[in-house]
Amino acid sequence: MGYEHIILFAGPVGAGKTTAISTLSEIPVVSTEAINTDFSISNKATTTVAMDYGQISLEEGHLIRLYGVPGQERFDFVWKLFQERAAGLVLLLDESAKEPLTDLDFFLDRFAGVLNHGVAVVGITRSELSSSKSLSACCTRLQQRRLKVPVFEVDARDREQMVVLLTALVSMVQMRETQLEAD
Amino acid sequence: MPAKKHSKVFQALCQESLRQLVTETAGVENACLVSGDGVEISAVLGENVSPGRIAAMTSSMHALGAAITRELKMKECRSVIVDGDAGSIIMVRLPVAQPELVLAVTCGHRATVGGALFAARQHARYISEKLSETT
Repeated sequence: MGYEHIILFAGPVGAGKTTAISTLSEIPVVSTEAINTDFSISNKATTTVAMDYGQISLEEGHLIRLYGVPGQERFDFVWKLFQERAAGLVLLLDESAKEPLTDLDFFLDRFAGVLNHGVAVVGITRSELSSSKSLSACCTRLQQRRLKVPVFEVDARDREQMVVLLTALVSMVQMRETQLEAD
Repeated sequence: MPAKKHSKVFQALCQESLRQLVTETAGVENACLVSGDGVEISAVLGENVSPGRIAAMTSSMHALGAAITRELKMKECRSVIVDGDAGSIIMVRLPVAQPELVLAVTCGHRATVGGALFAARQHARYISEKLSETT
């Protein structure tokens, strides 16, 4: 029997959440882009202000609903809305940002609701624009926080890479549900 | 919140327009003008109403209205109305403003939604016209 899961894409502005959902989705993405006027956070031309929504079917017709949320903290009410329903979290971090580790800590704290009842992966984007070694630093920080969260270096525009990341997360969701049923 | 700055003349004009909207329309309690990406531009709000949160929520709600309007091929979203037990929230897109601006108005049970919507649209049109003149 096919299952259905909600996966949440979160992370700072410009990390590639909208792009990742567009890359993965098999349906036209529902987007809520507005012209960006808040240049204190990003110089992007547009920004998501409510959500992105896409869908993808993994093997055997299992349906994955993909929700992306805005990156700005002023939209934290949207973060809270979706956390209750999500079985898994894709946390995307922009490696070329000033402090990716600070972003990691911030979003892990703010999305603790998903981590409490679900699972997560971290995707590090824009690695080609940075000489820093965020991947190993992220792994270290996650270990320090005693979180079992795999870290991937991904290009949000690359469907194959994003499918690998999503498949890993969905497998973790399935394992967790199997464990919960066994308990 | 540092963001795109509108001229002082425009901001004063917006503030006066919102003040009139709240004081001269029966039942209208709050009014807030926000950018499409959720930044407050001008507001006349009661106590305990956070302009930052209202601005972000207004832009999200309006964007969702625009998304379903597009999905159903109904062209542009002009307004979104949220009908609560103790009042209504009306969000009206300003015609022709680029980048997009949205006017949010809340009204209690004394107001008729039709009357508040009419007043909000009139003020949205007025602010739009002034924006064209001052930029």
